[in-house]
Amino acid sequence: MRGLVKLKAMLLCEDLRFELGGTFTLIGVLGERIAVSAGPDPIVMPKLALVTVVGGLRGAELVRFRQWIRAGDDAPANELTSEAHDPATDEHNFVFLLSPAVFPGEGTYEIGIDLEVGERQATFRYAFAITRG
Amino acid sequence: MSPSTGDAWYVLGLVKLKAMLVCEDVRFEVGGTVTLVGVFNERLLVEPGEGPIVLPRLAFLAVIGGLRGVEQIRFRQWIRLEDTELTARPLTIEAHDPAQDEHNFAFSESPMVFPEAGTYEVALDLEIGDRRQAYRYPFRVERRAA
Repeated sequence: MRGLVKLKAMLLCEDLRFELGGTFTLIGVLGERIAVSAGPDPIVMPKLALVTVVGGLRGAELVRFRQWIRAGDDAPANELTSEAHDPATDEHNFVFLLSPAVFPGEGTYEIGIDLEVGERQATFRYAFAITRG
Repeated sequence: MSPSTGDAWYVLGLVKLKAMLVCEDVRFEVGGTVTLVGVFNERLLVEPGEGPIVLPRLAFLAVIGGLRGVEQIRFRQWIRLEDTELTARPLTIEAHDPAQDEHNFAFSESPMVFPEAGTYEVALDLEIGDRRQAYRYPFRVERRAA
C-alpha cells in the first residue's frame, strides 16, 4: 500500500448519529471559536465530538490511532488503539467523544489524532478557542 | 513517532481546507452552528435500477480556515463527471468577517441527477485577494446489487 494519508475533514460538533444506510449526521458543527455562557470555571459542555475523516486508506486492513485534547504543550499520554479497516474503502471515520467535555476555563485548546497505517504516520490537529459570551 | 501534517493538500499556503463533505442536507442552526444530515463517505450507494440516478437532494460543505483578516472571498462550486460539468455556479462574491478564521461554503442541488453510476468530483475554486486555491473531492455513485 502506497500513497498519502489524506485528511478529508476534521470537525467539532455537539453530537453525532450513525444512520441506517451507512451515513452519519453531525449535529451542531462548531467553528474555531466556541462561545459559552458566562459562569464560573470550569466550563462544562454536555457533549463534544471530534469527527475526523481520513482518506487514502484503500488496501489497509488495520489503522492504529490515538486521539487527544490538550491545552498548551501537554503531550498525549494514552496508548494507540487498533481498529479494523475495510480494505475496499478509501476513507475511515474516527470519532472522539467527550461526554461531558470539561475545560478549566477560557483559552485555546487543541484536539487531534495521531495515526499509524502500516509504516505511514500522520498527525492531524484542530485548534479552537473557548470564550465566554 | 515522527508526525507529519499528512498531506500537502490540507495546508497550501495560509489557506487551509478543514473539511470537504458530501451529505443529504445542510442546516444552519440558530446560534451559528451547522448540522450536516446524512454525511456520505466516498461511496454513495443507491438503489438498484436503470437510467439516471436521482437523489432528492445532495449538499456539499467545505470549511476553509486561515482567513483571518480577509474581508471578501470569490468562489465557484461545481460537480462534474470527467470533463462534463453537471452543476456549476457562477463565480460568487461573499463577504467574510475578518475577525473569523474559518468560512463555510455550502451548496445543494435539489434534485441531484447523476446520468449514470460512476466517479464524480465536487470542487471549490477560491480567490482570496491574489491567492487562488482549488479543492476537489472525488466520490463514486454506485448502485446496490439487486
